[in-house]
Amino acid sequence: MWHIGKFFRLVSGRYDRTGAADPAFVEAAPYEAGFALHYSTAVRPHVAAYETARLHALAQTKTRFWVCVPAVLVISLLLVVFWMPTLNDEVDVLFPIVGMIAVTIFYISRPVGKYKSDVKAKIFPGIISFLGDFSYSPTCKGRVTNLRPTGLVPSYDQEHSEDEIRGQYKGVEVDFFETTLKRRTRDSKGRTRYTTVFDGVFISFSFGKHFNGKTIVQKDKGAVGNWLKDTFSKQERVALEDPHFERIFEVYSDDQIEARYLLTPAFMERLKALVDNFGGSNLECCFFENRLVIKMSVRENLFEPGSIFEPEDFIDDSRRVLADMQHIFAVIETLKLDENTGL
Amino acid sequence: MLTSIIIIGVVLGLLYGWYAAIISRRNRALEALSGIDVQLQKRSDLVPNILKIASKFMEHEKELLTQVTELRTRMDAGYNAADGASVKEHLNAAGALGGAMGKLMVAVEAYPDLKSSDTMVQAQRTYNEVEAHISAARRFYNASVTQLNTSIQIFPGTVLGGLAGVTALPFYEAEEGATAPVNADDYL
Repeated sequence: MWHIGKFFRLVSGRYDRTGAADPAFVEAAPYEAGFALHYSTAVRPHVAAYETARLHALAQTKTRFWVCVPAVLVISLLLVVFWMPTLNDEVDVLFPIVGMIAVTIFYISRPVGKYKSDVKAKIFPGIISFLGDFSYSPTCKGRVTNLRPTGLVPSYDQEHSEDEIRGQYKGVEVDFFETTLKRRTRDSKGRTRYTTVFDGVFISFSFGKHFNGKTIVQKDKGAVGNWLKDTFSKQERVALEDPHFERIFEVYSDDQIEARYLLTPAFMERLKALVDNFGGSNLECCFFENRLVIKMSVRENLFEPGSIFEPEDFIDDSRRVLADMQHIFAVIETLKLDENTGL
Repeated sequence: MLTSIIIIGVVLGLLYGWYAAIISRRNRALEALSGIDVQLQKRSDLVPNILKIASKFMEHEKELLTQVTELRTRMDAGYNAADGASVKEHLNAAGALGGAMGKLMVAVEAYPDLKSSDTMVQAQRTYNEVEAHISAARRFYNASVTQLNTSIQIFPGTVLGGLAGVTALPFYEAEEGATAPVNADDYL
């Protein structure tokens, strides 16, 4: 969401136009060790071209704004003065005006949107390649459909998924993507509305144990919610020994023994630690088809380029991407998925 | 009159509900017990292979190998799942075999040739996997037994359990070897 200040910087042209002459990455965090060299070979060669593209996108946006906005205002005024009096219902004049505004906003913001998409598509893979055999795709459609059998996916009508990352970390296969799921509803006046039912990430990991059934760990839904789930679920509830874990989660499985084989006391402790590390109880997971699928609500939009108003050197982008990747690695480390000890 | 009939009806309904819960918990505990047996059978099937590999190298552990064989035979003997004492004896035998196998696996460490043998490494890996399943089955069984025993040890469950012929089942406790302190010097 753009702030008013950014908006005025854009339309007034008061943004930084002086790109860094010879940007260099300074390693600050331990996980950035060695990235300075990678930056100089894989990222810095693109800086000059993207700085030119950034200034071009901003100039285009400014031009489009000063051409389109007055035009829209004049046309709207003409519609109100000459067309509205001829209408049976005067409110109908709003439809073409609102439509025009929507098209204008899309048209004006297009250069910046395209620039950011280019950064994600062409620069982010170069940054992520520092971490090993990882692939990155800024867009990914229909990813949630395959996860429906896990039971983690809420009922939805609209999916917007992005930032798909696949690869291996310490021998653990990782498949990550961000998604927003919306459900279509109708308000009291019959108008269609889309309500967000999930905004976060799905991460799928290879799991060191072989299993056949499905075990799902859901957040506790309270006495009534749990009773309804117990009554109507096809799976059986698994009552585990850890009272703290039972307060946070409810476990359902089609195999009581397998559920306990997967959810050892040690693993339950790690799941609790994961909840503590990532805040809140908006974390659910499912053991399905020899993988551990984790669903987490995340407020922050991960893997996004930095401000377009700053000179482009991709240093902040690199730091952000590496930090975001650490979130994924932290899940593996917390759950000790790389330690194939059987616990 | 009507009130009395309603009260009696409600009481009978509650008693029936309790009775049904006892039977369903007894059946669940027996299901859990059979789950343990499935895993114990896997371990039992694995034992001869491990003994066969081990006997080639572990000449000084004849006594331990013989003990494992005897305990396996004892554990494979049938038992009455409805009789708590018989179940306890069966689980004790399983625990004793588990303890002896644990000692055997530790003893393997003293035989470098055996320890590095591919077949032994694979057998140990499979054994560890089976033990993890036995542990999971034990947790399920103990959770089921807790529910059953609680329902028949609180009045009127004591009476209803007696009428239904349901008796308390024993817990499957960790074998003695698993809870004994380990002296690291023995293996260093």
